[in-house]
Amino acid sequence: MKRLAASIFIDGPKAYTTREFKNFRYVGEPVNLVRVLNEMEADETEVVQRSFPDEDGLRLLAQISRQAFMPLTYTGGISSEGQAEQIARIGFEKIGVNSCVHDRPQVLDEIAKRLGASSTILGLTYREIDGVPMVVDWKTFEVKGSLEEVLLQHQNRQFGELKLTNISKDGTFTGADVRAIQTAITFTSAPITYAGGIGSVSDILAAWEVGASCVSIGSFLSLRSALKSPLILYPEISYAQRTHV
Amino acid sequence: MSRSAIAVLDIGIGNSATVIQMLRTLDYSAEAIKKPESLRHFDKVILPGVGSWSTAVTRLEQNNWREALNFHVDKGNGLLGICLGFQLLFEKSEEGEGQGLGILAGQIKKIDSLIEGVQTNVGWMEVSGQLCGRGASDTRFYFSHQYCLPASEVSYLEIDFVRHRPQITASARQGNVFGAQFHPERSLKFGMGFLDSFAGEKL
Repeated sequence: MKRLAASIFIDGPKAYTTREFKNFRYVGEPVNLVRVLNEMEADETEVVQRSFPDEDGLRLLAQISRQAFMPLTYTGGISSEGQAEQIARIGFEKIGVNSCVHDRPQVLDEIAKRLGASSTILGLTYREIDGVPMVVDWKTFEVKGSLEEVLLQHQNRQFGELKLTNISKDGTFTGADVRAIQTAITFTSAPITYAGGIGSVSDILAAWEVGASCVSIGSFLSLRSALKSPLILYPEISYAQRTHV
Repeated sequence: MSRSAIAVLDIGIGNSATVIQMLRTLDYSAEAIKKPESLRHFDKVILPGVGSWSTAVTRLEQNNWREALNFHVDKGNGLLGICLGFQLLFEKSEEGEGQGLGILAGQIKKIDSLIEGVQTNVGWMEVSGQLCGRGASDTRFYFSHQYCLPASEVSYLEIDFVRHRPQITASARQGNVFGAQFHPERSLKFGMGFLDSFAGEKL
């Protein structure tokens, strides 16, 4: 079955949507959002932060985990297997590793050894430059190589899923980047989660149809009303549609 | 008034907090336990598991959980293993060194040795059989794992299997011992139904 993940960006105690990971717009209290997502039967929820949480942040993650009756992924500032285990012990099933993999790709193997590869997600953010998807650091936007090159660098690393985020499309509602998904599929056998630009159910279906196992939505989850005011709406896509894409 | 008390092992290898929260939502009294001696106060115990085999085996060895859990089961009390906790009920795993609890006979194997090209079995999946969904077609659970109990090698167990990957055991039962490869605590209403069945003796 194809999956649809709800993405919640947290800064301090509050949740926001972003555009190109900037322009924060408040959408609610994270624990309340998760309770709403339980009611809406969200397939999974991803919590994203810019950096590894402090003590207050860890307490908030624990509250989220306790309330979430769907699978949880955490991404943000993970740079060691110790940090990954700290989040996993709170209850997050999957840990996304992003910036750190560029300097220390072996961190994937270290986390996989501690938590299992199926709990380890390689997170790559990219933007299109001259028609080529180029992987960039999601904080500094420093270019790390083409999507193809970076995937080849990681092809023997241990990870259970690939999360692919088009940073230029974040919060733009301009549709999925199906070409990048197709490119990634040729360089990894891991299931792919795609994020960026989703603005309609058709966009979700398009990403699934070209091979994404999961689509992650942030702005489309929470800013869908005509006035783009916060309102959580998890799209209803029938079980039959999810299984027959 | 809360229904019967369930113990959930909290030894740093699983998601005990959410299992407890879900059981409490179902109006069961549920408690985290960290010491084997606490087991004697409970008729039913849940062993949740996230992580790697070797780490989990070490944690079980460090605190004599092996003896305590075997004794608990030998007395006829209920035990449910979840995900890695399910795999730990068996003897060995291709994932790592060390002996599992050995409460059930069998060996955990890498999924891609059973299904070519499939490294990870991740996502919501339907199961076939009578343990989990009583055969209902829309019952589904969340799976995330790279190792599994091969469904073809455990004919002595009552099992359900993943509908579109029938090589993979989804859940198993032998008497008072139950296991779920999926995560009921992360499977919304479907997982609630499964935990309710174990806790309420409907399985």
